[in-house]
Amino acid sequence: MSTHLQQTAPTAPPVTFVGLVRSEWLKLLSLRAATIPLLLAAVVIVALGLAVTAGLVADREPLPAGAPVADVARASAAAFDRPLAGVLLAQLLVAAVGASVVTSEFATGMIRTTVLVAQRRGLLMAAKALVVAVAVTVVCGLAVVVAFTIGTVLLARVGLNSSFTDPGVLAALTATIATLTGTALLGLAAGTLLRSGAAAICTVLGAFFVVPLLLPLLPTDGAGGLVQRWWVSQTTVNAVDVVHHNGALPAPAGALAFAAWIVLVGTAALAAFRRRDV
Amino acid sequence: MIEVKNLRRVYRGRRRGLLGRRSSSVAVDDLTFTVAPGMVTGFVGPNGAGKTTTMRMIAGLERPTSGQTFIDGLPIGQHRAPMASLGALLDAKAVHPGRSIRTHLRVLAATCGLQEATVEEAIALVGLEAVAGRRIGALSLGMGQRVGLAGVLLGSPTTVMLDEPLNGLDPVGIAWMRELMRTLAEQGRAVLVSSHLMSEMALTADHLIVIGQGRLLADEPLTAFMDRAAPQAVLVRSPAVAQLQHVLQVLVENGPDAEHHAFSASTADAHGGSTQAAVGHGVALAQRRPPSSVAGARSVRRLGSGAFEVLGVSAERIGLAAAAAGVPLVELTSQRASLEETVMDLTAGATQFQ
Repeated sequence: MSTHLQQTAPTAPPVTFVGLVRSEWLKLLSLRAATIPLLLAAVVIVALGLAVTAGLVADREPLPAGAPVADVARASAAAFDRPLAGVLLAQLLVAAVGASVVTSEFATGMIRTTVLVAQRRGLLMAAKALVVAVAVTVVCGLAVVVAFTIGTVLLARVGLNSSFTDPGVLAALTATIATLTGTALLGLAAGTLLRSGAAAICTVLGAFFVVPLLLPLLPTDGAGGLVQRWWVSQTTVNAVDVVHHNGALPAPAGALAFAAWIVLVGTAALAAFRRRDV
Repeated sequence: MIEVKNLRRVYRGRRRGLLGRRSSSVAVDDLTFTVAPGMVTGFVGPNGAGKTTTMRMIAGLERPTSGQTFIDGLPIGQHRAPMASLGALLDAKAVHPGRSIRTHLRVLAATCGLQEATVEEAIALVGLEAVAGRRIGALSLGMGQRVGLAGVLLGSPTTVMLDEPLNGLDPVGIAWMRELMRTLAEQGRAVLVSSHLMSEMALTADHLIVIGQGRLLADEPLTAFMDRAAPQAVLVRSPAVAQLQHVLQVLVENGPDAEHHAFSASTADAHGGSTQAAVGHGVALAQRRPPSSVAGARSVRRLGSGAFEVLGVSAERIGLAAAAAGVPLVELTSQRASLEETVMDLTAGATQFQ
């Protein structure tokens, strides 16, 4: 050990957003509670999509070779969501990714060191959000593309021909990936608000899995109808599919509504984080 | 430099019943002090006195109820490079145990773009090169402290704040830490250290801030604190017992004026007898000073084997007076209260958690 220290050196460089992003990136890569659910989400998207599509292909009568184009198109569109059957479960996993980025720090007390060194809590949260968004978009985006590609190959066996160039497919795939990213950000916000990983995941579980089961119990008009359309998990129903679902918000409005949910919960989380003792 | 101005932190408790009032506890009560650069300032007080709460508010981890804290003139939240202004080790456990030492330090360094070389320097400084790749969770308590210290020194901060840094360190580590704190202070940094180890504080600190129940009890140089709070007891012995007794009696009775009193051998003989009765014949055992000694009170107590214990008169004055009167001294010892006793006396009324 030595006590040889530099004389009080010229001021260290300032904390920048880029620096915070680099720091958060290093943290994410070394956080198993984040990397494992993320990889698992990718596996689930591909594996579950593969399984469900294979099941459809096994059960279904292949379309006759000379079938009308319109029929083929309709059938293909209807089967669009099968290769993406794993996305719902993956949403839960990426929410865990988002939550763990902040709740692991609360649990270990690392948050105190982080806030001490960074001081600017708003910028810190933004850096965390960016890192989560990029990681989920890249990994799950790749998985969605792979799942859809394998799906098209399988569906071709029964005469269905979905492809990237079909109307609405690109938009729906993009929306699917965006929904996954958005759910991860909701997980981050929930984790910041609740300061507990388990609580955050249960909240997302409740919002995306339990509430949708109860929604059909509500009357479809008046307040019940509003909730059915505007509840966070229901907003993107049309955006992520190529066929239209009645009773759900149209795709553009739904996308905006989902974004609004993220902004709302995110703002509350940020305000709480800035105010609270750490 | 740290400046704390009228800092106050009140915790609001739970409401009692639906309409009951919230009980509130005052953790820090109107605290004002300055930690100057170039010296080690000890921050002492009993458990629950508010030391850690104060440090957390200085570091921006906790929001004060009222009052302000400044590092080099700015609140810590407004510093562009916090790591260069304040290096604080408040809790060595506030790290992710799954990361390696090197990764953890790189994470901190990345926030303000410090190079990897700086990280390696910090690791070398605390002597953890051999284990830099190991998980922090696998380290001993002492090593964990050193990791925290590496993080503190990474930005080469102008102010260093340490909360109980000696926890878990072995004697070698404690000596090293003492040396480190002195070095940091000599480099012109402001160093604030809170510790319960008074013996260490006495060796390391130049300045002392004592708090109890959230209130400031003392804020002064260490030597002044020691002089003020506990009267100096001086043990003095001479074969010429009666003459010494006379000299001491004069010093005690006349106080600061005694310096003008002409000491001479003849005076001592003449008055030796009459002043004998005035000197207290205490039990001939050197006893521990009662905690309620009033500063500045002067007294002489005769101990066994011709020794006297004098309170309130410095050893210098006794020695000079004895020399002027021609009284040979064979023992002249300054017995100071230990820092521990002094602080405990001062905070005796202010201990919350005993």
